[in-house]
Amino acid sequence: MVGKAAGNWRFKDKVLNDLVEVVTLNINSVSYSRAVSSLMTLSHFIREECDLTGTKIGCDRGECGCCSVLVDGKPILACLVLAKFVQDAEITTIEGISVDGQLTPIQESMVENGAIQCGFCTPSMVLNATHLLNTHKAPSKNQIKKCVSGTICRCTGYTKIEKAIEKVVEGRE
Amino acid sequence: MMNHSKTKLFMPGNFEEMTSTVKYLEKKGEKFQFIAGGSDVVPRMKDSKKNQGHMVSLKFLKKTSSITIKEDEIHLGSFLSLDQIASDSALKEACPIIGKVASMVGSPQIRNQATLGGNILVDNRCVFFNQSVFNKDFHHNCFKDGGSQCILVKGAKANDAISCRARSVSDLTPALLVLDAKLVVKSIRGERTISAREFFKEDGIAKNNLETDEVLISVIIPRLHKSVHYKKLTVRKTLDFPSLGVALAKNEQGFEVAVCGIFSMPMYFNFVFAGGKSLSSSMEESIKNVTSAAPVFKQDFFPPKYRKEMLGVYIKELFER
Ligand SMILES: Cc1cc2nc3c(=O)[nH]c(=O)nc-3n(C[C@H](O)[C@H](O)[C@H](O)COP(=O)(O)OP(=O)(O)OC[C@H]3O[C@@H](n4cnc5c(N)ncnc54)[C@H](O)[C@@H]3O)c2cc1C
Ligand code: SF4
Ligand code: FES
Ligand code: FES
Repeated sequence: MVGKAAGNWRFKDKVLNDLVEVVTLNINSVSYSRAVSSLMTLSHFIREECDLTGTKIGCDRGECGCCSVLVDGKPILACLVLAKFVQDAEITTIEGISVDGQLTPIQESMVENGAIQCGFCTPSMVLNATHLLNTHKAPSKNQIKKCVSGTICRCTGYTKIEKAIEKVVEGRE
Repeated sequence: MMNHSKTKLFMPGNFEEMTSTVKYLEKKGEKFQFIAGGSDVVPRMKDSKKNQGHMVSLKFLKKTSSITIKEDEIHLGSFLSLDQIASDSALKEACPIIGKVASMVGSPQIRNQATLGGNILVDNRCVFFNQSVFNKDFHHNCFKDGGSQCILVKGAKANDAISCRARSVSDLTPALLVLDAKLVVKSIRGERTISAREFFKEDGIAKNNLETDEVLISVIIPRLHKSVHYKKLTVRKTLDFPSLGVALAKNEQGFEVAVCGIFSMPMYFNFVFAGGKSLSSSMEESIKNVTSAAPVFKQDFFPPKYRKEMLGVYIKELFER
């Protein structure tokens, strides 16, 4: 009864037993068609099939927030979505937010304000902040706290990430 | 090695396609379940030792899921995301508690994908079931995983009236019970409306009165202008399921209360205070009735005694609001 491998690898065995289908996703305005398990999650599709490894997988269960991507502009957790389920959507990963290879204001602000340590949570923090800044001209402190609340950061203690977002807002005024 | 038959995600484009998919799977004797936002189904698929079967998407409901506020009722489509519910200003005005509770579920990202229907039908949780397959290899499979025993309640039998005591954890349900909401469900046999108060079962596996091929289409909330309050016990402010959730509405004769997170079904109570008794003794009696309604097991971060105590504390606090 004792398992030899960790849970995620067991899950991989499990998905490989599922039916294979061709799934076509629009990620960062590029169309990716891949023959994958019908039940493959978006996070595995992005990382393993498209080699877009900026999206991280921490818990694979919706609890750490590190796999956040934008689906039709809104942050969702790629580990909780089946790839085939979002075939009709526009998906944006961290690789897709910069314009002409330039860092966006929030990315720059994160660098300048020391909001990145190990960097594991950073893609998710940036995408969640991008959504907040796109939808709110001047988000309140509370809205900023809420925005970072869905991603666990083990390094920074959150204050520097919040400050990085605040600085972008200040720069707008 | 686990034996998982070949499973697939079906994406019907409308109700007719959905029913024909379901009919086909039933004819073939294949197991299936519906998937809406997937925030409950997908982790369960990963953590379950029992083959969860095919997935049938309900995404086609998105087109018709809206918020309609009428003079006497509110209609909520089951595919509305919790974020849509939490941020709708007309709903906030008409029935503030629904949006308020929706905003307490999971995390911002989860609320963008999680649906109202999925929240009402979210699976019951237990420490022995909701953990990784790797961890579960160190104990026997329980009933919920297709095994032959319950690890939480020693001696429980599969054919007991209540074989599984996994906790009901839907945050929105207590408020819907107090508001006397109705659930509209539809299948190939037609549509029926069930009172939320008669919908749930006390068993952590059977959970409710929905047939496997029935889909929850919408929720109807009568506009009773009750002032409902909700309080949730969690370790963290986000990401945590309720260790206890209490919704309460006070009225002239007493109060109505519904709880989740502590028993194997959401429980609803209506207390009418008897004349001649002091308020405090009526309250104590009501609280005793709620806390002793069903056993509370050690299957959460907070010990059962503490959760029972907090149930009384929350009832008093919400009553005094
Ligand atoms: C980290 C984390 C934290 C969470 N925290 C909370 C919390 O605090 N409170 C809480 O209540 N929940 C919480 N959840 C659980 C879940 O996210 C929510 O309950 C959510 O609302 C479920 O909705 P969904 O659309 O994603 O459901 P799904 O996963 O799609 O479905 C859930 C169940 O309902 C069935 N179903 C869904 N819609 C229908 C329908 N229309 N008709 C028939 N059957 C249907 C599915 O078959 C499935 O069994 C959390 C989940 C995670 C991963
Ligand atoms: S209560 Fe028992 S049968 Fe139900 S999930 Fe927990 S251990 Fe399994
Ligand atoms: S990997 Fe998706 S939330 Fe942790
Ligand atoms: S920087 Fe390390 S987890 Fe956030």
